Amino acid sequence: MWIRRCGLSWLTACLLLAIAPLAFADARDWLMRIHAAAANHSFVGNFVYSHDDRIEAMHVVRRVQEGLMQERLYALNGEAREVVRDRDRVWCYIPDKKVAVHDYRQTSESGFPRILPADLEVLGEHYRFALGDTARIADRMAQQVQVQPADDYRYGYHLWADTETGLLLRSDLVDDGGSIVEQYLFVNIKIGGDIADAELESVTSREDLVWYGMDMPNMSKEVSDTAWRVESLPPGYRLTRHIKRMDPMKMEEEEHMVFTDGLSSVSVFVKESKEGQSGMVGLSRMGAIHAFRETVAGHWVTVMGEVPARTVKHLAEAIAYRP
Amino acid sequence: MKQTISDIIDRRPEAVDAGEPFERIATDADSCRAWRDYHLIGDVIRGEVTATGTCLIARVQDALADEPTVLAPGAKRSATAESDRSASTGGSRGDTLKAAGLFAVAASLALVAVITRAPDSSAPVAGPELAAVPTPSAEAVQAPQVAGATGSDTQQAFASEFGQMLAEHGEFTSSAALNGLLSYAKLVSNEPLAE
Repeated sequence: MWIRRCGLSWLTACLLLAIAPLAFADARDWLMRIHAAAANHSFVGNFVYSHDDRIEAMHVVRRVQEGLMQERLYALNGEAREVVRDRDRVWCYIPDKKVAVHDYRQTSESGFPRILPADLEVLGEHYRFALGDTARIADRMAQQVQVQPADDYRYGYHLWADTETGLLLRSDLVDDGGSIVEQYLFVNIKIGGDIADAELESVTSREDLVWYGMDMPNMSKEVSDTAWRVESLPPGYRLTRHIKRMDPMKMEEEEHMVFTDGLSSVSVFVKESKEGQSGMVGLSRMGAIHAFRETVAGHWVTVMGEVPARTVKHLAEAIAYRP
Repeated sequence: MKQTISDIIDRRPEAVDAGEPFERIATDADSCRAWRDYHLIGDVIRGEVTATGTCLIARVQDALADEPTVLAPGAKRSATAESDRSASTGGSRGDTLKAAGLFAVAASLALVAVITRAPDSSAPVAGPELAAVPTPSAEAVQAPQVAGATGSDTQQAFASEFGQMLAEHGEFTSSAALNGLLSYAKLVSNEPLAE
């Protein structure tokens, strides 16, 4: 009886070991599909964005035509704020503040941060992947992909991708207690077909808007030599970008470091503190975003990301000035 | 509970423990509001409600208006470059800010940061008023405090910088690879504005 029970346990363990990589591969394939779909499919739809017991309804249009991507995001509630962007630039309309801005983007030539297959392999060290059930979302069938964190230095993701195209129809950011911290949920979507230019034009009246604009792309430079060190990283996180640029509000130089585990990202901003300058320090939160701010060696250090409080605090405590 | 409501609306009864969620929706104010809001917003933007649409939207906004304290946005810069999309393709007219990350300026103006206090057993700190919404983590860490002078200038400056940094951070987040422009929802989101 004991041998039989042991045999069954071994069999179960072997089956699990055999199934786990398959589940990972399937889920990884779906992540790649979601990523590719975001860059390759045109669509028009409405979605709900919720966080902190708030719900916002928004309209989004994306047109991919001859490799050129154009998008428009429009708030359906309250003030009619809009964001319009293409591969290189962003226009933002804030009518309630009578302000509009156009700016150059800082991301890759594709218009999206990249997820490479190699990144996905690394992801497997810090997340567990599984395929969930299919579900009907926005009148379409969607496949659920569960991305569960291996520890509490990162949130989990529950993603629902359109089974036909791979487009993301619902995305839940989930904390370690299983609660949804932030959610995007399409309620209707039309995928493919022609999208008229008018769909991508801002509807905001340009009268009385104060415009901010730039003639040149943003001038930031990679940092190769810095006195700032992060002496202990949370598990799985690595530095992927370290740039220096001017704070556009105050015309002061700041350093910006980006750490990622391949899915979750944390930024560290370092800026010199002027004599007599005041500011808030400690932990704060907005939706899924946690931020921790402190002063180190006469500088403001702000750590921010869509990660648990523990992660930003860990990074804040690990940063040191070593000239 | 929000997940449960979402599952019900998604017509996934198998994911829902029959009976109990409906009782909570009927008796719990927050659950009831979430249920109502999901349906109202869905109905309104699907165009299934027309005659009373404005009223319904107003009701949704009323529900959303039950907000925690907000921090005011920062002061605008004085640059007043007049521009439009067509002008921007050939170079903007008027003054131009020669600085990086101008989109972050928009964020600092548009995004009114709702900052919550981290769990802390110490006495209330002076300075910015902090939102009284539940924090997700039970981990006790230092609560936001004001280093140096206190006052509305500090809180405005922090809200402004928070939005600005959030926009800069958002350009590099890996998850943006999955949801694209949807991650800009934070910027377009209509938080109540403190005047």
